[in-house]
Parts: sequence; structure tokens; C-alpha cells
Amino acid sequence: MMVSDITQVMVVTKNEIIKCVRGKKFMVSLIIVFLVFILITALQFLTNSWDSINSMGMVMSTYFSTFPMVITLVVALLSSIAIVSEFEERTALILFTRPIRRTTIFIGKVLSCAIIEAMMILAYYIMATAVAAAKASDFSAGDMAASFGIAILYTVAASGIAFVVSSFFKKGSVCTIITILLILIITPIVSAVAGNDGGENWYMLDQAGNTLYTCVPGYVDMYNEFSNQFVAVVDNAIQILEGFTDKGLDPGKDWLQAYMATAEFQELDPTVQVSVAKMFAFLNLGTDGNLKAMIMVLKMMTTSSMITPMEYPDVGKEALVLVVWAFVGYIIAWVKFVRREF
Amino acid sequence: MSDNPIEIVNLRKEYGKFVAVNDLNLTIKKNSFTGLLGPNGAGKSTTLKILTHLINATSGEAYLNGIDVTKDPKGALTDVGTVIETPEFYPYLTPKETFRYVGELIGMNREQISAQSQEILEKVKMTDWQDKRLGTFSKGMRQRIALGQALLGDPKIIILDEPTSGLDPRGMAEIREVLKNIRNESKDLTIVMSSHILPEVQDLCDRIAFINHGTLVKDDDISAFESSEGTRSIIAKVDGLPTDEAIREIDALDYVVSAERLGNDIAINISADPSVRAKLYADLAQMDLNVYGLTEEDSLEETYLDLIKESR
Repeated sequence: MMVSDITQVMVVTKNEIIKCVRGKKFMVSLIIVFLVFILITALQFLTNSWDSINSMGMVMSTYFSTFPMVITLVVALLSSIAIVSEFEERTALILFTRPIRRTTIFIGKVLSCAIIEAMMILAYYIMATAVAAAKASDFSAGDMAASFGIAILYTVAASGIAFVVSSFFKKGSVCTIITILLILIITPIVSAVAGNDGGENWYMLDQAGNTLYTCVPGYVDMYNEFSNQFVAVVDNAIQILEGFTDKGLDPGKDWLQAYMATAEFQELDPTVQVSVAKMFAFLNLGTDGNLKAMIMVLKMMTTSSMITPMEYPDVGKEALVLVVWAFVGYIIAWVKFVRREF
Repeated sequence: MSDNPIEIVNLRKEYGKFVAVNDLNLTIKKNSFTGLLGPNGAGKSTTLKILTHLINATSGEAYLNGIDVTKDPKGALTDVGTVIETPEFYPYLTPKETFRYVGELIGMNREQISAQSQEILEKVKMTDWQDKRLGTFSKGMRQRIALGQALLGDPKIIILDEPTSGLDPRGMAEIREVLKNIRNESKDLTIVMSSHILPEVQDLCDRIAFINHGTLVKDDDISAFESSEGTRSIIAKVDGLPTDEAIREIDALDYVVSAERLGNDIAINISADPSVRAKLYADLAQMDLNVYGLTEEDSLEETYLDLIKESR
């Protein structure tokens, strides 16, 4: 009796889920997800920052700015071994010799990984959403849902890359390491290089993945507020430092020199004496020395990408980027998998 | 297409310049238990892996129940059970769960799977272990489960690639016993098995296909391999020195080709027909010879080695 491909996809998916859930890597992934949440929450209490989580922006910054990394680890543990393990552990000798298309097996594996990883991400979002609902004055369920949607798309895209790695290599451990290297190290490096000097890097996986927290307007607003405050402080500092002239510094130097000769100075704490002496030495360097260098550094800071105002991301475009990454990844992995010989 | 369950036509597999299977043509007869023999690198495993769609053929056709596995692997493997080498199972599943997985894949319903799983587990003597996770099983136990899953759905063809490879003598004996039972109990079943172990092939198979350098050298009933020009050599172990008169008496028997002294033993050549062997045993018992043992020379090994030499 010939069984339909759809029935077989469901059978493979179900059994892959059972197999995965009973495995050690599933348990490790689950621990990572819960540990990250517990650690972040505990640190807020330990550093007395719990009360500062009062907006969606703060929730996103606190709980989600590192979440793409957590997703990558989960994907590296689960998806990167999905294909290679069949060959490495010789289970392919049972599964592949059955009346079932390789494509059916592939789809079953993709679905099972996506379902398990989505469940783990959902668990994290439920916990973080509870915090957001309790603490954020501007709590928005819609924003959380949008963020979750992007997180799922990022997971699927990262999983696509993990499947490519898994279909080419022979050892599961190598696949896990390469997946982590590719997504967590190589991609951000390429992305940073591409984004230098105003270059475009929106198409990179990490940039699209960051949308899972930048898609919340409160996060962008908060970031820009901090950024503007920082720029304003630096601008003020530049103005003050640029106001100094050698002529303007002389009275200060003279006054400090006179003060250092007084009995009052001699009675000061030695550490304060050292500080005053250092200040005197600094003023003695004049405007040609450190002052010019300091002004230059501050000016560089105001123009660096670190404090460049963040734009509201085009969520639709970034979601499409993730879909394309996933599609390309799965297609390459599928082509390799159906041709791979035992 | 004929009704032969397995037909291989001009099958070829190349790995770069190396030709593993060289335009092989082979037909496996219905309801036979065929042993695929040949030295290392002869192309036995490659052929079976093409048949089970683990690797792709460079050219040629391989039909399973009339369907070309190179063109429609899903259709061709529908009524086929396989044990390729010593496969591994998902360690977190139990035998019952593994059977359910395989059963669902081949379209069996829950009741069928449950009923047949019990039957098969008994057949492979693993009933007591049905709910234990496979990760804790020995290699021999896993191989019995492998045989069990191959029987699910009552396939018409079973393909075995060195099923006792890597097992200890006890494990090998257990697998052989299971295979014998399967052979004896199944009426509509064709089995093809590659093996290096000649006694195993002798014990289980009724036909042999000898392959070397990726081509078929000889394909016949096992009796044709076991006899040299239609005869078999039997050594009679005698308590004491056999007399010339006794040897002449044996030689005079109408079905005996020749009889001669071999130290304290007597080497007797007879027709390969099994009924002749039975007659000889009865006649020797009647003679005043004190025969305490009869051994048959392993002519299959001789034939095997001769075929390797000839096909070089």
C-alpha cells in the first residue's frame, strides 16, 4: 500500500518531535532559554534596576536585545544535527530504505525543528510578556506579537542555515560549532563591514534578526532619547573645552600654584593633594596638548554609529529578508540532502 | 517485465574512475533465499545500497517487484524490508515505538502495528524488551530489532546486507536462527543476503549469486556451488586402520565415484544428490567398519576460491 506524502510528513514530524524531546540537546536548549530569563531577572534585582523596567523600551532592551543570540544557540543545538545525525548515527539505514521520499523526510525534519524551537521561544515570550504587562506603562500586546513573529522568522532563517551546514558535514558536533560561528561571529563581522561609512546592511541576517526588539517603537524612542542626551552632554563638553585658551588657563594655573603653597593644601587628604597636583600638571600642558586631543575624541564620538539615532525599522522588509534567508537555506539544504549518498 | 521479484539490468556505479558495479545483470528468483557472495570490493554492498536507494546508480535499472528503484524509489520499496549492515536506531525510542514509526510510514494502522509488533517481537525474541529504550541494547539485540522492523507489513522481498557483521558468535547464531524461522514460516517471501561467511550462506540460502569486480560470475542453486563437477567429497572417520577390503567394498557401491584411504580415514566421492548421501550413511552403518564420524569437505569454499581466481 502506498502511503501519501502528506501522511508520511506528519509521521516523520511527530516522531522527530518525540525523538528530539527525549534527547539531551533539547533539555540543554530548554535550560538555556529559562536560565537566560532567570538570570536577566535576577540581575535586575541584584543591581536595583528592577524598578527602571517601566516601559516597553526597557523590557525590550533588558529581555530581548540578547535574544537573537539565545535563538542561535537553540537552533545550533537542535537544527544543526537534524540531517547529519541520520548519517553519523546510521539511523538513515532504517529510515531512508523505507518507501518514503527524501523530500518527505526533509520536510518532516524542518517542521519538527520549527515546532520545537517555536515552542521554546514562545515559552520565553510568555514569561517576558508577563513582566512587560506588569511593569511597562505603555504595554502593547500587539508589539509583543510583532516581536514574536519576527523571532519566529529569525528562528526559521537561522534554522535554514543550520540545515545547510547539517547537509554538508559528517559530524554533528562540527555542524553545531560551524552554525554558531556562521551566525554569531561571521555574519556580524560581514554586517559591520558592510554597514561601515553609511553602507547598507539591512539584508544581513543579524540586522533582520535585531528587528525582533527594534520593531517595538518604544525601544527605538528610548534608544534615541538616550542617544540624544548623550550627544547633548558631549556637545556641551566640547563647547566648554573649546572655550579654553592659554590666556584663559593662566589665572587658573596661578591660582592652583598659590593654593598648593598654602597650609590649607598641606592639611588636605593626600589623595586630594595628588588630584589637585594632576590638575595643575594638566593645565600646564596648555591647549596644544591633551585638550586638543580630547576635543577631537569627543567630536568623533558624536559622529560614530554608536550614538547615531536609530530609525524605525521597515518591519515588513526585514521580515521578507528573514523569509528569503530561510528559503535559500532550506533549498540548498534540500538539494544536497536528496542527493546525499550513504 | 517478468514476475521475478528482483531484476538488475546493466547496473553501473562509478566513483570517479573506480567502477564499483560494472554493468551488472542479475535476476533473483521468486521465493528464493539468495546469497550474494564475493570478495571485499566486489560490489555486493553497493548493489544492495542501490536497490535500497541509499546510493544512486550511475546507469542501468534495478527492479523491485517490477518497479525501477532508480526511477521510483518510493514505489519500488513499498513491499520491501531491509537490514543494511548493522543499522542504528533512535536511542530514545523503544522497540515498540520504532515499530510504530516504521509501521506508520508504510501505511499500517494502529491495530495492525500493535498486533504485528507483538508477533514479530516474539519471532525475534525481544518481547521482554519491547518497552525499553534502544539506547541500552547490545548490538545483537539491536540487530534482532532491525530484522523485526524489516518484517513489518509482511514484505514480499527482504534485502539483507551482511546482517551478522560485527556480531559476536552468540549474536550471529541468534540472527541465523531468526532468519531460518522467517524462511521456513514464510511462503511468499524472497530474500537476498550478502555475506562473507560461507557456512552462514550454506546454512540459510538455496541459491548463490557470485559477484566479482562488479559483475556476475555465477548464479545457480547452492548445490551447484557445493559440488565439484556434480560430486561431493565425504571423509569417513574410522576407529582403527580401514582394511583394503573395506575400501574396495565401498568403492564397489554403485553410487560411489571413488573411495581411497586418507591416513586412518576414508575419502569417498559420491554424487551431490542428497539422497545418495543418505544411502551412503546407511550402507556404512551396515559394514563392519566402526565409523565414528562423517564430515563433508567444504566444497563451497573451494568453489568460492576457484571462482575468485577465474574471475581475476
